[in-house]
Amino acid sequence: MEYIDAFYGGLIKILPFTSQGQQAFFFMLVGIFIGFWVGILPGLGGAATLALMLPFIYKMDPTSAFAFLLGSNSVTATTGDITSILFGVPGEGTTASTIVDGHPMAKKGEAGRALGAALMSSLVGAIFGAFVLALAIPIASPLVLSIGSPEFFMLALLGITFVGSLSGGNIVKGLMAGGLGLMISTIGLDPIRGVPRFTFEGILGQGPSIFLWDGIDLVAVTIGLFAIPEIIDLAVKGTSIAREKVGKLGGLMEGVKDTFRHWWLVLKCSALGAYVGILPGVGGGTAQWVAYAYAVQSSPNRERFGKGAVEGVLGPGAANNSARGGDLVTTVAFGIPSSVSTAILFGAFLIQGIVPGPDMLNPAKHLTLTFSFVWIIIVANIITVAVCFLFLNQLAKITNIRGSLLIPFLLLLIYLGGFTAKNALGDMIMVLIFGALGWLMVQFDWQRPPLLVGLVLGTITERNFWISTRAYGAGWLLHPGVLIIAALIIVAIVYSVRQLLREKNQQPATVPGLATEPQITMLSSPVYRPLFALFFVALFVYVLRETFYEIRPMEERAALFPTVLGIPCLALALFVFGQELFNTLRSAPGRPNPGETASSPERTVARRRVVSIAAWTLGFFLAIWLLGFVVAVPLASFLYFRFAGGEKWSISILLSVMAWVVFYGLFDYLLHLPFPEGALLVWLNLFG
Amino acid sequence: MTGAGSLIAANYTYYSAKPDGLFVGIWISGFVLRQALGDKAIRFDTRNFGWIGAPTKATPSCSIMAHTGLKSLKDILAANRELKMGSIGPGTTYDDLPQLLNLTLGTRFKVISGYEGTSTILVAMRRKEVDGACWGWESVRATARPMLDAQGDDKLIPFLIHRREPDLEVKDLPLVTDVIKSADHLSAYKTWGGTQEFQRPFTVPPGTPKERLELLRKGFAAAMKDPEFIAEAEKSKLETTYVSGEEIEKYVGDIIAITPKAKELLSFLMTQPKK
Repeated sequence: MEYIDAFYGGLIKILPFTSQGQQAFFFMLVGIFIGFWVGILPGLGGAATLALMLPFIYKMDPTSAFAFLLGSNSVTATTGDITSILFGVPGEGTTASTIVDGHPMAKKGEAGRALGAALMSSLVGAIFGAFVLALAIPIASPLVLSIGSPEFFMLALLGITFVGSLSGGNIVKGLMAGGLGLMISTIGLDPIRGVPRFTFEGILGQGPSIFLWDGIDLVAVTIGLFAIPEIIDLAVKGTSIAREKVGKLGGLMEGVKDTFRHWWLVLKCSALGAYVGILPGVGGGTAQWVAYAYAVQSSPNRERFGKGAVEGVLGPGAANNSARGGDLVTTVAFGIPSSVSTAILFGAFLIQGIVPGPDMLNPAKHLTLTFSFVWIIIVANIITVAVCFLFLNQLAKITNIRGSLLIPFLLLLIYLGGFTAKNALGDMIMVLIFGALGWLMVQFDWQRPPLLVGLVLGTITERNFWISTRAYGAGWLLHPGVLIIAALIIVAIVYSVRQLLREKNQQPATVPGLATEPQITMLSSPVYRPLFALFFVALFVYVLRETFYEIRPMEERAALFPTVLGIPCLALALFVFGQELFNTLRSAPGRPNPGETASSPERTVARRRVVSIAAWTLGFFLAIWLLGFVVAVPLASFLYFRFAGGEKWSISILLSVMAWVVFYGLFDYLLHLPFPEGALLVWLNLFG
Repeated sequence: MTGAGSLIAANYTYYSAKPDGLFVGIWISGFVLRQALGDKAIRFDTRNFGWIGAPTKATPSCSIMAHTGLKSLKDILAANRELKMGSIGPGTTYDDLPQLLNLTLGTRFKVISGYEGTSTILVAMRRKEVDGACWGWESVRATARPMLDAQGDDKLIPFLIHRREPDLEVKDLPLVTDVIKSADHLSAYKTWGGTQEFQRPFTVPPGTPKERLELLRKGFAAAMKDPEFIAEAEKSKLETTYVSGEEIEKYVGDIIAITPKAKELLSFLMTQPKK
């Protein structure tokens, strides 16, 4: 009875029926407003915003303080999906996987449907996560304590086996992309002894090398891999994002219905997300990819994924939201934050004079407050989704605006997203490097999600392998949990292989409404494919050379993971190279290349456009570097609108001023982000 | 400015920031010791920074779980068995202090490095993956409060501390400096402990005009004594201890003037290429 009273009391505390409730409700609305924009804008991270909000809670009562903070934190993953779907740029790091199928849906004129599916599944996920929070707190302790480092390591391995199902038909390329992601995760100081690995000090010098000590940022990689190829594609096609008119299928309600059509998938992915969220040190960033992989693996028509399958939106949409609820469990139950965001929320507990732990479950102490957290997550998401539904059909029409008007804004979002990852220009360079890689991967039919799965799971895998070995010797291999997960891994591999063999033996199913958009292959010469594979051969040879001659002499342990990864990756790269070379030699002269659909004149125009947009993208970066954001944003935007887009002078000036006002007003004037001065202006000593 | 445990921020402050008094860099004091030990990654001379002051000192402490059956330093030394201590990674108190105690007291701590943060170490302690850890008391008392108050196997027991603190759990604990007997070992520990005397120091780039540095020092001192600031810090359970710029200059000078013997004893703190 006490629990039911506390559950009801938690709701009353945040609704505007009492004076205290009015205050909490007001602060929740403010929090939601902030979280809404934080989610949508790629340049603003949820955790960083929470840290900025923290000083405001000193004078608030506990319910209002958590309504303010949780109201913001619980909706960022919901609205982050909007940017991912509409523009192919992740609004939040935790919404990157929504791009894979959400953006192709937008391109097919189904932006509304994708948004409806993302929002509804987000709402279901958030409610699921909130109830997990309510129900799991009493049992959180045994749940978390049953997962030690060996079990964590095995769970990470299980996640890596999902790479097979994300490979888009070519399992060797998929495995190699996954291996590349794992290898990228080893860049920087190794987590055990702090030895620099692959920081290129001999080539880059000390400054850039130290930048790499901190590793490669996931947000920068995601933006590069997905957003840059989308911009190039947008410029090449010379149309709007939506290639087809937003029609009936573009409707929001269709996406809502999809959520209920695939009800079990949404619930299962919500459960996956909540569970991953509960595990310390893992959060929505991992949960989304695990859910995406599950959605692919459990589908009878895997070939639809990556081309606009709604299940690819529903799975991650639910998981990245339910993870937020799961994330809070350990913080509330025994005062152990499991992510950066919850560590900041832990600070809020201290400011409010509350000690997380058993008191949070005590009806005589803070149980009502604990249940108010559950209601804040639910109510905040209901309000957000309701507000979004009011105008999303209009927002979806952004995808009908011609590309030349959108590209400068997208470039601004991309570079801001890259820069604000660590407030460093280096991450903008990472965006460019991974942008080039992502575009080439698209050209040569390599799947990008396995690379991100590898990158997300790499550090977790290495850390937990070392901790397990150091803490338990070889004994951890016989832990019951390890053996159970090992059996699951074997089952997953066998299932994957059987599924692949079955798909190979069957004729590809024709799925109505899911015809792939014709791809204009720019690099159509058959020589390029083996050359691209050869690049990876060279890369892994370099990796192994560095490992044996630079890292191993410093610390053998730091060299083990790159060695264990590097050798099979090199073997896979050689295999792919052989495969591509064989295909090239086999193809008769004059025979069209697979995937090549454009005629020669079309291809010439497309090539010219690729070179042009690549130059503009690079030019935008150089302008920021040389002149600083404040000058470069309006100047580069104007030049693009006027000379690349061929817009009228008046429109070019108006839109450039708009870009500057949004950038300067929000990021510089309001948020005081530490934008560097332009290198050229410093050289000329203009601010001297 | 994140990255490389604030080394990027320190480098930027030293080489790139304008010495006009408008740029303040905050980075970890451990770089001073790394400079003293000859770490090649530290390519600046910490004596050249303008030191404004520091808002706090650190009080490293070591704690052990009750499930080990040990309750004090005396028990640990008498048991003479290997104990696993959780750590985030090299260059942290979690990593350095147990190894220093092995060197100076003959304890048999095995550092299990690689945990993501304090929270994951606390979970590892509760599931008996590690037996304890060494880290700042100001963090222990806030982040591990439920474990300090727990009963039975889940109880966390502090057994050694760097300086005297008034809290009930640690007020009678032995101090590290009292239990180390050898003069060389004590000198090595004190050099390491020197960096604990000024945490999160505020610095200005080399070449900042002296009068501007003085102005910043005065402003910093006034802020640290401001009753509203102190009240808010107390509400957040943050301990503040004002350390002046002049005091920091002295600490830095002492650390850099490390004795050859202490340098040799502490050399294990750096990863060095095998010859």
